[in-house]
Amino acid sequence: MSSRKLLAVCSGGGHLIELLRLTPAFEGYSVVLASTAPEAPEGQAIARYYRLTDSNATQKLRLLRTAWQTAAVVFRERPDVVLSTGAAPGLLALVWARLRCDKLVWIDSIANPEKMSLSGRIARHLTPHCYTQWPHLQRSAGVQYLGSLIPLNLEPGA
Amino acid sequence: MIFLTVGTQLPFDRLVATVDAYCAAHPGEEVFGQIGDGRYQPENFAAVPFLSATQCRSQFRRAELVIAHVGIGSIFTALEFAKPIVMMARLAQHSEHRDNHQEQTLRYFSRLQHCYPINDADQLADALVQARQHPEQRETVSRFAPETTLNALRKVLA
Repeated sequence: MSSRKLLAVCSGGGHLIELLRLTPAFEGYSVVLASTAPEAPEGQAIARYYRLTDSNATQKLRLLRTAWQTAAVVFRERPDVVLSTGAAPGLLALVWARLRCDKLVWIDSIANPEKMSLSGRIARHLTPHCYTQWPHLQRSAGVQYLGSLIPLNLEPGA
Repeated sequence: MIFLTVGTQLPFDRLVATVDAYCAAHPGEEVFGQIGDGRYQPENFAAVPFLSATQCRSQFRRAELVIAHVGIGSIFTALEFAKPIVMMARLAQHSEHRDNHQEQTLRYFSRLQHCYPINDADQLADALVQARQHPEQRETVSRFAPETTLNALRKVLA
C-alpha cells in the first residue's frame, strides 16, 4: 500500500523556515513541497519540489499566476492533506484543495502576534484545522492554538 | 564578523544606511551584508544583494552577531545558532512593508534575551555593546518545533 501524500505549500523566507520546523510531524507521509524559494531546501526528505511565483494581495497579475500554478500542483499531485504556514500561495492551494475535499491545515505565522493574518482569517472559513501559535489569538472564531514553533514563552505578561 | 540581512523579499535602505553610518564611526568593525536590491549602496562594508539559503546559513554560523529586519527566518536562524540579534522593524510609512506587523513582532521578540530592538545608529551602537557583554550564556534552539507542538500536529494529521 502506498503511503499517504502531504502537500506543503508556503512562501519562501520565514514561512518556509517555519514549515521546515514541522517536518518531524510529517512522518508516514510522502511529502511534496511547493514554495517560492528558487531551489528545494537541502537535506529534506521531499519527493518533489515545485517552485511558485511569489505574490501577495496587492499584485493581481502575479496572484493569478500563483493561482494557476497552485491549481496545477494540487490537481496533479492529488494529495491527501494540504498544509500551509502562509501566505497567499498557501491560501490559494487550500482553495483548490477544498474542491477535492482533502484535509486542509493552516498554521498562521508567528509573525502575526496581535491578529490573525489576512490569509489566516480567510483560511478559517475553508477548514476546521486553522491554527495560531499565540494562545491569546485562539479567541478568534474558528481558530485553535496549536503550540509555538519555537520553545520560548513570548506571551504578554510572561 | 557581524552579518547584516534584510531578507529575500524587500530592500531595507534605512537599516543598510544605519549600519553604514555605524561602520563609518567604527572603522575597526567587520560587517558583511545581504542587502536586497535597494537604492542605497553602503560605502563602509561589503555587501551582496542576495545569498542562497545555504550561503545565508553559513553566514549566520560564522557571524559573531546578527543585524536584521524583523523577519521570522532571521530570528529563528539566529536563535538556532545562538547568535544575538539586533533588529529594526520595517515601517509602512517609509514603504518598507505593506503594514507595521514587524513592529508588533518586535515587541514580542524583544522580550527575549539576546534580541535587541533599534531605530537608529546610536541605538545600534548601544545594542552591540550590550550584545557583546554575555556571550557565554547563550543556549541553542532546536531546528525543529517543540515536541508538544509536533505531537499536536501529528494528531491533526493522523
